[in-house]
Amino acid sequence: MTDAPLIRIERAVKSFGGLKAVDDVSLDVGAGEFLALLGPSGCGKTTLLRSIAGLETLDGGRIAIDGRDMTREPAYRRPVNLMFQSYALFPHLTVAGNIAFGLKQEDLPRGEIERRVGEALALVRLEDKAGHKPERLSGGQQQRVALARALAKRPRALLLDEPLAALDRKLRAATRSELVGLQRRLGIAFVMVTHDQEEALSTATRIAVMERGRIVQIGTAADVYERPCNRWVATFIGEANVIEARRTAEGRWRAEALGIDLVLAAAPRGRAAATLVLRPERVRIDMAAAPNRLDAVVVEAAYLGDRIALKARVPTGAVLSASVASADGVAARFAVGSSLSLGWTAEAATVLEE
Amino acid sequence: MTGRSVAWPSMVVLLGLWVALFLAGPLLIVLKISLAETRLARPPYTPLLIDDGGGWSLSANLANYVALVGDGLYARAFGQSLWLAGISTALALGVALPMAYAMARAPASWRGALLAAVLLPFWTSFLIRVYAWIAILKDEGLLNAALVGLGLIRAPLALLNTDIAVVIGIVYAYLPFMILPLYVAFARIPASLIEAAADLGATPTRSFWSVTLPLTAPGIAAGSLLVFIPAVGEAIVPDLLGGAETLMIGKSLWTEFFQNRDWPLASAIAVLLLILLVGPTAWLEGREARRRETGA
Repeated sequence: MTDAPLIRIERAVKSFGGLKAVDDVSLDVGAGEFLALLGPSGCGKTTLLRSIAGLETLDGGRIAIDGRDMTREPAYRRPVNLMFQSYALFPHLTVAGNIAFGLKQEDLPRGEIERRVGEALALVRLEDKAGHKPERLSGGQQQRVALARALAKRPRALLLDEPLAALDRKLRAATRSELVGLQRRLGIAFVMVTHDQEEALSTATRIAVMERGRIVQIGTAADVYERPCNRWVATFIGEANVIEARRTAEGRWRAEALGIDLVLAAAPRGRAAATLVLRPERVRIDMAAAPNRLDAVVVEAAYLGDRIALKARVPTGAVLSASVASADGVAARFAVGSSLSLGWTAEAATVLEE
Repeated sequence: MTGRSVAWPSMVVLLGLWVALFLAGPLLIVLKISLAETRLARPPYTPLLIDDGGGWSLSANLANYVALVGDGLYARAFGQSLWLAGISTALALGVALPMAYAMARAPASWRGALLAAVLLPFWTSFLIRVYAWIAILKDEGLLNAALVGLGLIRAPLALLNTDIAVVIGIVYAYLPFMILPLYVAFARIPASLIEAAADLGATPTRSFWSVTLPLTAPGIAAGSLLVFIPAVGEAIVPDLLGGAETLMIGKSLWTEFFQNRDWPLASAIAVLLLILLVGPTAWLEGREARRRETGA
């Protein structure tokens, strides 16, 4: 049983009024894994998470946790805990009371409860707020109470529903790395729902990309970013130039929209047409020896601080996105209307397997 | 925003006028009468200011209050009113809690109809509805007939003209005032809190006692006050359903006013009742407000 997954979801289906929120999803979560369920709103990621917690009952399929079938078990008998997007702190209980709530349900001795509440408070550094009511805490503090409350139960897996969505940007970045640190330290599985691709990329050991109730791709951050399985994933995660190419009679790959023959490191075999993804940061500016090279005119330049997001029109009229790191004089060099050449290596563009 | 700033002072003036005309004014008149003496005239009490030829003199005394406090009958009536109102409030709470909970948890499409059903009795006269209980509770009434018919009892229970009938009548009459605030309190609890309780391992029963019920406390307090306060002064229910030994202060007040035509004594009862009810209520409210402010 050692290599059995902690959570095994088999062919899960959940509909709301004829609409399939989760449509035939199978997924394994390993012990100690940090898995992100990533997708746009309405893709079914939250429903899937709530199904693991037992707050939704599946219409079809199975969910097993720790090798035990939990499909029909109510939420209060599942060894996982959910951190709610709204935090769902009990307003009539103090911070300590909130954290103790779950432990009291296990009928632990009073001393043990106090000890574990103390531990949980220390974990999120809120020892001095133990006696406060949640309403007197800031959003970030409330978030940590919700985290401590779920972790005090020592769950086999912690489920997080958009844990950072309600925090401001600065706090979000700090909390994000705290979550990662916590997950490594505790060694329990985290399953996090998010619509924010940056959040998923920076935290998760594995990302399951969901669309319309299905998992369309699952893999490491590098997998889904660099080898997206289809055009939708490619454009949902990060920016992408999608290039259509056709094989000519001479065996070259012609990108009609760009008016050039592409030089590809790994040309797709046995196909007459292919779709390629070229990330903006892989596009080089004025690269002398680029195997793929185009003249272009800047039509849009968005200054983002650490980089400049360019849109440049090539002679055929097509527009390509490129990203340039900020440096001295870069902003002036890439003003709208300036001419440049776009280039990329043979390895830069990824062929989609569709 | 301009609209609000204009409307705001006029609303306050309107509210003040309302309170002055329909609350403070009548109360002052009642207070005035309670300080007078009864007499056989119209109005049946002495005026507060008497013109004794040489000028005006104030004619006020506390004799009515002394009489009320001194006469054990009134003290008992006060005591029994509080007791019966207390029992009725507790019973109404017991009946209303599951009803309000079921209403709040019912599918949204049902809630309107259920609310209407709770309010439906108000479309008939209060008097008629209490009268109907006579037909239910009397010896050969519906309830006894049903119980005897089912073989649960042999001889009919003596229900009508007892304190039990009074309690039943009060619970019935004031139940909607308990249900509505409870319903609002239940409906206001975010579903995520109940889900969080379940997620943290609380069975539905424990979740109800440790999360749902504590969060309903303001509704319980409001409903209890809405039932208890009018129940203490209730006159019609004890008159129609109570027995000779049922002493309720509202009935005493009624008797003094309409049978003995002792307006000053009746007014003194009303003032005492008011003090008895407003005092503790204000204290409770103040404590609740302080508690909320400190957030402790």
